[in-house]
Amino acid sequence: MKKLVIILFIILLFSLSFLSATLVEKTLTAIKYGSTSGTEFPDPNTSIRILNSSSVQLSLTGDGLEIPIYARENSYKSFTWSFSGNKYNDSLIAFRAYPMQTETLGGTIVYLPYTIKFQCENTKVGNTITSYKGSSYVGTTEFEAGGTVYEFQYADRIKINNVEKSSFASSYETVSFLIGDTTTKETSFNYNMNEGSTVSGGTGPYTAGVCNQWNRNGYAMVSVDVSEENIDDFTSGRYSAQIVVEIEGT
Amino acid sequence: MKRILILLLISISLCFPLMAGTYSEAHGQYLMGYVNSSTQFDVELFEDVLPFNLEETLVKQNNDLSVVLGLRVGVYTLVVNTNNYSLTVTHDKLVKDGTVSQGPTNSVDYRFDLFYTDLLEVERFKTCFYDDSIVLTQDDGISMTNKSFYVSINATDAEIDLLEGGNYSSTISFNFEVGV
Repeated sequence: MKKLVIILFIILLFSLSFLSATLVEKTLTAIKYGSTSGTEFPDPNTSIRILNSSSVQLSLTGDGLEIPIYARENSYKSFTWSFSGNKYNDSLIAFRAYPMQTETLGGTIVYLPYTIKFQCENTKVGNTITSYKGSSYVGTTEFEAGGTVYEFQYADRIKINNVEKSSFASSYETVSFLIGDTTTKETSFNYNMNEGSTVSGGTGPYTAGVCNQWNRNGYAMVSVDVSEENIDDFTSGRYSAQIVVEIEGT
Repeated sequence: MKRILILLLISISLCFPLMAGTYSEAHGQYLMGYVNSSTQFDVELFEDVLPFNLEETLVKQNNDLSVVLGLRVGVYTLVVNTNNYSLTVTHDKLVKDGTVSQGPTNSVDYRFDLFYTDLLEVERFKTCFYDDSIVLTQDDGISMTNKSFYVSINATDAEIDLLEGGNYSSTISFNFEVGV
């Protein structure tokens, strides 16, 4: 009996060592546009999701993002954003970047030079995804409300810091903090499908202000601009910079 | 001499088709081999199509179990060289964020379709709903690279109309086991 127990034990050990399991969980997200107007049209709405480099959604109340050591003099994809909604015109997302400074309490604050590039990557309207690499972005999409199908012929436009970009190839903005630079810097992207668009379907002018669901995606690249020769000029320790994301359009 | 010339002409003419051929540019190919058992399993969710609109035409209910319609929300890669594995995929309902008690006004089921390549290299798919699961084993296939999965809402338009406005989320679980 004792032998049998030992043999069983060995078999169990073997099978345990051979078995490996991997559990991957992904979060699927969806939205239902509500209506408080009493009409068949949903309310205009926008929402934002920020994801880290592993595509994990961050809380909107201040999750930390670590910048790895290889981001020194090298671009690192720090986070991505997914800005979504159903607003037909003027939907704005803005990023406010603060200087990167020592976290140590007391003593002299040391600022670390860094660069952050906000890059618009693509837009999905309805079922169509368009990358920001072409010179223009036009398309059609259908939107159904109250049994009526509205067809949008749209020309999507983007303004960066209130300057309209004629080419989507330049749909990005870079901000740099030089040594000693302590100012806060803001970058905004304003999307507008309204100008240059026509809507057919229904009767009379279209004034609902909503269209098909869109998703505007982008990402932020960060680099710490300290060379190997200058690294000793900065105090050892942990540095942090705050990035504030704001959206308008709801 | 005449014979030699004839033979020479024949041999030259035989060579022409070969000489006329031009080599294409060399394309590198990777040949992979494994020592001992090896597995690879990755899942990618397409965050740039999320969140999707529950009322979007693309994700409308599809009751035909022989056809996949819906939104392509991700891909997975599964490569194994062992005899025994299982991949079990489950998901819960799409539930409105902050919901404590689920009901027809704050949760909705969806259909999940997973493509795979069987042992004969034929493209197939399996389907599951929230109270069900998809199971793939070595009998279904051993090499799936960037295979897609789709979702469509398992509710009528009237049932979707009942849902409250807001953000909804659901967890999709991929449980991959080797040596089962």
